[in-house]
Amino acid sequence: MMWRPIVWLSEVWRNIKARAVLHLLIGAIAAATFGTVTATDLFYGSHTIEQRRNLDHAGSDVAVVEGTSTGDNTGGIDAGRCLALNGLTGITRAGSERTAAPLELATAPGQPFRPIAVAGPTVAIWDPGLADSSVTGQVWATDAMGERYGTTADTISYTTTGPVSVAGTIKPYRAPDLGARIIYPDSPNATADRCWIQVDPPLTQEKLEALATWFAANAPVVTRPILAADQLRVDPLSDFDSRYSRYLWLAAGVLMGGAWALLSRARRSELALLTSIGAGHLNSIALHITEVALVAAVAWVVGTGAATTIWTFRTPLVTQSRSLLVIAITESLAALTIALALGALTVMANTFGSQLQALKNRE
Amino acid sequence: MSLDLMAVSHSYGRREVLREINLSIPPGTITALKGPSGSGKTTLLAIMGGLLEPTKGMVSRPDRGPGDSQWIHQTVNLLGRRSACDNVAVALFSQGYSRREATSLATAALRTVGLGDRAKRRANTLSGGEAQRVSIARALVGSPSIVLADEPTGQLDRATTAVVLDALVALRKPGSVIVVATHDPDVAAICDRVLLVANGTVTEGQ
Repeated sequence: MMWRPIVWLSEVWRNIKARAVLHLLIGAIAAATFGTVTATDLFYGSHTIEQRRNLDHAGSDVAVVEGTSTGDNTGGIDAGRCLALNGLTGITRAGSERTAAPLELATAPGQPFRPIAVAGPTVAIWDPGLADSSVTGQVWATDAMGERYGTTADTISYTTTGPVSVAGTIKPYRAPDLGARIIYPDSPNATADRCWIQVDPPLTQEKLEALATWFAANAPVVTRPILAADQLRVDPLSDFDSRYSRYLWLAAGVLMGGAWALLSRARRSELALLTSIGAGHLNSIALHITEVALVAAVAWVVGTGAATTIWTFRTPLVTQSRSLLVIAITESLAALTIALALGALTVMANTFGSQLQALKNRE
Repeated sequence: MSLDLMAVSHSYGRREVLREINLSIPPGTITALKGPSGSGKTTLLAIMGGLLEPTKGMVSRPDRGPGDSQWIHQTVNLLGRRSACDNVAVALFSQGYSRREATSLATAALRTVGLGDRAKRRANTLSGGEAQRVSIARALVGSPSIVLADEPTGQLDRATTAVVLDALVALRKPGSVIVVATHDPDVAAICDRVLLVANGTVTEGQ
């Protein structure tokens, strides 16, 4: 006859209490093991996300198209053609750029600089911190302009024209060579020097060729990624998939399963004793398996919870993702499952063979 | 109902320990199994108790299922880190008792063997004699149909042996079969019947 469930549970608890130090020790080891699996995935994943973000900020998915000077062709490209890319599948945004005639600030006469005229969301491509809607039709200053002339979000006056209102300063991460510039809106029908295009990642050779074809109908162009080819080859996402620790969950599961298997084996004679006093195999097996499962489950919650908490507070919010958490917890759960399966199999295997011999071994 | 063995044989590999044993042990009796070491007494007990399946032959037991046959082992065979009371009570759970009921019966059984004041002590802090009496209390508590004792006084001094024998006699009830494997003449003296186990056979002794 099976024990009453409440009796069974109270026996499990009493057995755990009776070996409190051993269970605390094995529980601590299990918590550390499961926590390591979770933490490794989480921190490695956050590092990957940060790498991907840095690469994105540097312009991993941005290409530049420039006209080439050949014969009568002056080398410009059609800004309208550039802006027409917006809305096409695979294009995140596109905007043109043209270097305009030199100007002087009224506050800095005799120091001419060349402003830049842009059409479309070019400023949002240069500075990934800005939204498309906030950049079009406004005058901007680069941060270098602010450093050199003190230009920020205010009204400036050129020596030759009236006052102009500047929306703010930008950090042109993806055009670091821009220098000190004032950026003002340009006509979408002008002839531009170049077209900046941000594509849906990744930026592949096929996409570069398609862009070249798009512009080549009007005039010969050169299409290039803004990052060097070797930088483009870095793919943090595939790096995460092929990480050395990707099978850590398996190793952790086998390790803890082995530990519980050894402990269960050492208690083989206890199973025989319970059998000899009439507890029956099923009750004895259920008792031992539940003990292992309870300690393992608590250890898993503690280990995974601690790893997740530390990760939450120790990594930047922008590098934390729900899908990463799902991967980490799934792998940690897989380790727990393997450990429990091995532990349970050993408990069941202990009932095979001579119970008499097991009792004699106890003596 | 009696405990019957019909043409029971048992071998460990090629070594035949028991050969064609036919035996009937009536209820309400205490039977001693005597014989030299290695003669097969423990094997015969294990077959009687269902811990070992015989290589050949059949066994008919009077028990009513799990918990209805109890063992008293040669050496202390208790759950060392659990209390004396828990060690006795655990034998009752398979009979459907709740913990409260089992604890109450276990405490009474421990009182019967003179250990009422030791009920809450951990088993591994009891003396050898006390621990053996806990085993007897465990065998006593569920009114089992079969009690099998393997050298129950083998490691006890004479004074403790006398206490254990008294407890063993207390186990004798009309419906229960008690079989004791022993070398000890004092144990054999309290038994109703003595069987000699030697050379794979069982014969009536004195």
